[in-house]
Amino acid sequence: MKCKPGFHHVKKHQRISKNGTKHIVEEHCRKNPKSKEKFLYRSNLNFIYEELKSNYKYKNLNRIKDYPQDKGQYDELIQFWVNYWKDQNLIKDDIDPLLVKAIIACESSFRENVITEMPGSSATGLMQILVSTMKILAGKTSKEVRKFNIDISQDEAKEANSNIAAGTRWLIFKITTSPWKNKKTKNDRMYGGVKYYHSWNGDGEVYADKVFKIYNGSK
Amino acid sequence: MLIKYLRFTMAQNNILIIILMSILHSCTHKKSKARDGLRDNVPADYFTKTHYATCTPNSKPEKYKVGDLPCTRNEIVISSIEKLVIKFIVTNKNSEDPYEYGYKELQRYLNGKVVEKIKLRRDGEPVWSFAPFVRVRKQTYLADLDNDGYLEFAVFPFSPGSAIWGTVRIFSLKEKIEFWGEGRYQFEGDTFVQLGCMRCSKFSPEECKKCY
Repeated sequence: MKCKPGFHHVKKHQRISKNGTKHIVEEHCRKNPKSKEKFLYRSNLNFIYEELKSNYKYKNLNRIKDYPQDKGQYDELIQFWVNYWKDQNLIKDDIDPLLVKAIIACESSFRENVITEMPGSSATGLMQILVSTMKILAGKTSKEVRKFNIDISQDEAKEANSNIAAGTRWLIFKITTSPWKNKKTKNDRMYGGVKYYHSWNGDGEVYADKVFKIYNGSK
Repeated sequence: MLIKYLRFTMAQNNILIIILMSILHSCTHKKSKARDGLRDNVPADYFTKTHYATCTPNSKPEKYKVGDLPCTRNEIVISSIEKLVIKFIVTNKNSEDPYEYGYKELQRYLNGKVVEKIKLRRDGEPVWSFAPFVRVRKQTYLADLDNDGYLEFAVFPFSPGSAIWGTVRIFSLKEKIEFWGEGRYQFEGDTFVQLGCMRCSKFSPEECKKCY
């Protein structure tokens, strides 16, 4: 189901009217409440991609070295969301879609439905987004993300479109708010974003090194 | 007699099919588990199931689901006159920049009055605006970690990425609150602080202090 932004999807359900008669309401798009007027749900992400994908040009991205699972199946989605968020003025720099692909390789080896096996973790899908991250993206835990909030569930994050949309949104949020955001070179700014995409302590740098090794090896 | 025999063979076949299916299932399960620490199939109720965590020694267990932060609190009562509170201070409510919007502050109350304030987000740090107290030791939010007679407590600056381990800051409750060191915290599970600085190889309060 697709709904234009500002509306959300309502499943088919039963309604009981005042006189007690029951009737079935078919699935439809309903206007968002005012507090969530600009929230993006899965149905909106599907709508945006389907309606606007023809506005952009796509090229075949390089395959990620040593990852035979990469058959270019997500190239279009990655390029679309990277360009879409840039057009929404969320970031000034151009993000190389190949960098997003390197993150996907590192996180999930291009497997859509995977959930990490780490005990107690909820990292999900291509870009291994945590439920905790999803809550921040949706503005439920804190008000860090102040615009283009994405509210998707764990199950919805297993879908490539929702996952890449949320993952690239989160990456852009990290690039634009990390302490590396004022670095002189674009490469450094990207490195900072990738580091904080993982974590803000020393482990993040180990992760960023790994992603950049994959990225540089596939250029 | 023939009917009895047919029933017997049918039952035998069914049992054989069940055994074969269970062997097949266990094989595929092992195969999917063996890949890079990632799995394709998880039990349907894994993320909807309610778990329980006991947050303080005599409290009732709190419900939580995977992805929630169990036992998150913004207040620790130390005595009848003293407590610690973490508050969000809004500096510019109209700003879309999360840095300008506000920050978290640790406040120490004595007899209902704020006697000490510590801005938790340091300069040059990434954005985070959620910082609960977490248990510094199993079952407790306050513990004397170095046996010096002062209690320690931990604050978790929550800025998640794809990693599930984060860094907590531990403070010592002296006449003035002092930074004590760092620890690790697995924020999606029911855990407590694992001591050891993220940037130090061994646990040592002195070494951890050097990290800053």
